[in-house]
Amino acid sequence: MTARAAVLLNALSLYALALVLLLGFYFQLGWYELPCPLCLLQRVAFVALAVGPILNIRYGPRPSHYALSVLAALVGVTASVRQVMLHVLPGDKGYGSPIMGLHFYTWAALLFLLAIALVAIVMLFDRQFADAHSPPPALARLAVWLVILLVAANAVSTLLECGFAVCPENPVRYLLLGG
Amino acid sequence: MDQTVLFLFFLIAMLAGWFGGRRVAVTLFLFTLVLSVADYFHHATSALTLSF
Repeated sequence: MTARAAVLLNALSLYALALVLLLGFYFQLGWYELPCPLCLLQRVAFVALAVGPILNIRYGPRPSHYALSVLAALVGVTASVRQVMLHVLPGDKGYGSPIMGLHFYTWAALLFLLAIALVAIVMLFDRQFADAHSPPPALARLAVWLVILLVAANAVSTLLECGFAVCPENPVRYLLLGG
Repeated sequence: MDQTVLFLFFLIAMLAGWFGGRRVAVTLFLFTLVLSVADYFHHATSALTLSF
């Protein structure tokens, strides 16, 4: 795999992460399902997962950038599996609406594990680390700015939801909006 | 508030990395990841009624 192909794959991963963050906003704004602290931590981990690909796009693929993604995914797995275990007992309806039969945190656990596997597979191709780095294509630059915009939106929405205190365990309204 | 700070720190790490501060981005990333773990332990306090 050439460095250019790896950069394109990293850009695709950013689009996938943007889709996940947009889906979170869809349920938050469209269905008024406010994310709990553990849900927010999983979003934070998805955001952290995006830092490695951004560095790969900007500086060219490096093993250390992929390592950042694995560390982020491990934090995400920890938070999401913890929430799965909180709701795993029979009779528990879970937190939030299910998506195709699974709750957001279950999907999150699967996606974080998938991310670790994909990073490992992509790292098998050594040539990407030897190639000279060229300026990123427009598609990749667009992906970077899309993710950066979504992270800023998450910071604002979390501030509106939780205010200047620690977020409540079961949020039902935006504390800063008084609604 | 705690997660707002985490989002902001990762946002700054991304911007720093994109505008040429790779070392700053990596350092801030690792620092914020440690903060995220600390925040996880702050919130993951409910007892799990499970046995393994």
